Amino acid sequence: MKTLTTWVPYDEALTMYTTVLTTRMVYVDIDQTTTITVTTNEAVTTTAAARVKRGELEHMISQAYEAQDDTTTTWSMTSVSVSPTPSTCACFETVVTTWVPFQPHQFLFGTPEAGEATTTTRSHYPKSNETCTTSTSVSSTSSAISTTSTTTSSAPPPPSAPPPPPPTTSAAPSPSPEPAPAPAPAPAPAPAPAPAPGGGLYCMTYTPYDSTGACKSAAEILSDLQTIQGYGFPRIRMYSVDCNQLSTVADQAISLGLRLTLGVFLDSTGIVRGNADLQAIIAWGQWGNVDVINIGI
Amino acid sequence: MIGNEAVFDNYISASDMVAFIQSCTSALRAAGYTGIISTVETVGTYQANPVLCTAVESVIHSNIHAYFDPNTSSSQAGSFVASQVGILSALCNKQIIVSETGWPHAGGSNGAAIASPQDQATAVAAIKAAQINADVTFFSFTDDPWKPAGVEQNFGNLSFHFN
Repeated sequence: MKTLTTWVPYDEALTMYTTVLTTRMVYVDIDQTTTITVTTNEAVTTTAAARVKRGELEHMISQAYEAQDDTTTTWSMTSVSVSPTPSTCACFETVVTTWVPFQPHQFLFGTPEAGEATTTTRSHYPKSNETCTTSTSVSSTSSAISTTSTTTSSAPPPPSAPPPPPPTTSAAPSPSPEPAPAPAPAPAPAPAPAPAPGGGLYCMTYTPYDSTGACKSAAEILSDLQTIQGYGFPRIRMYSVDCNQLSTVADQAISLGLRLTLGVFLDSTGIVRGNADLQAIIAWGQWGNVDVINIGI
Repeated sequence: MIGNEAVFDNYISASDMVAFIQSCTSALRAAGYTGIISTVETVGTYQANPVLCTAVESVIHSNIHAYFDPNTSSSQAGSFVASQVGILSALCNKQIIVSETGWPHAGGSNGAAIASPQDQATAVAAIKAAQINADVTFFSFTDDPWKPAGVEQNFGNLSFHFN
């Protein structure tokens, strides 16, 4: 069991003022099978890592920050455990001190220690065919990281899909220039230009429903998204946020390197439904991966 | 989805839609989103309500389905989409993105527009080959049997034409 002591949400705005004092390891939840159990003095909750990240844990961390100025709070987070244990997870990287999150589904482990260097080390997102180093222990000293390293292959690529494009800022294989999901702050104030027409396949629509209209499982959706990507589409268009789509579709699409067009759905309730969709999208807020938000679809 | 355009379906008036788009735009900008904010309607709805063109900042989206024009056969699907994009571009004077286009593989005929696997293949190939002054979103990844009975269920499985 590892204790999660420092966590940084993938949020460009937050990275502007969030400093990770110490970061020992980056866990990339590439298979999205990880659950996190959060134990506090009030409750014990176990949920999928991606949900924890944007749900309870985020809330708890915000409470912790607020508590610094509020001595009357009784909140405490006694432990955070991760399952499966890190040594069995798809990919780890060791990083040094300050770390800027590069992709969603990254979680930080380790024990905070004083006096460490402040070198910025950017992690990279593992490619589907990449061999990663798995680190299974972290030193307790302030100057050395003791690792037991083995190599393991991360998640195998889908049978018919090419490896997802590396999320680097260099020339991407996508048909048009797009802003990489770089964590750098200070996003441009102007709307991002749409990709130029005529540069190849642009987008495929996607709805997460099975033949009966029920919500597909996250695993089914991931398979669908890999298939769409395998056709050569760099982007999917979503219509709404039902079926927990921002997690099961949007987050998983992001994990594959797909770009997103989102939709605020209006139905016979007019803007009642629309406002609900809008607020869900704002709360989700992974702007670095979104090219378009359609109001009314 | 076809025909789910909010103004087209009378879920909301054009003027209320303009106000809602502006409200959403303010909220999204305040939340730090810097990308494109747009809306989706049929070309005919934009023509009837050109105020919708002005409600968005820079980009117009429209679902353009050649099958629903009874004068367009599958081989003409690409030129039809290109033509509709041209009309919309001239009307709104903004960048256009096609938010849906495709062709059904079953469900009957609509004049010259025939729904069949071969016609779907012909239409998709025509759209891919056409000189369209817009990015194009293909519809649909799979059939949509969860929709009400009708031809709109049958716009998948486009995998046949991209793998």
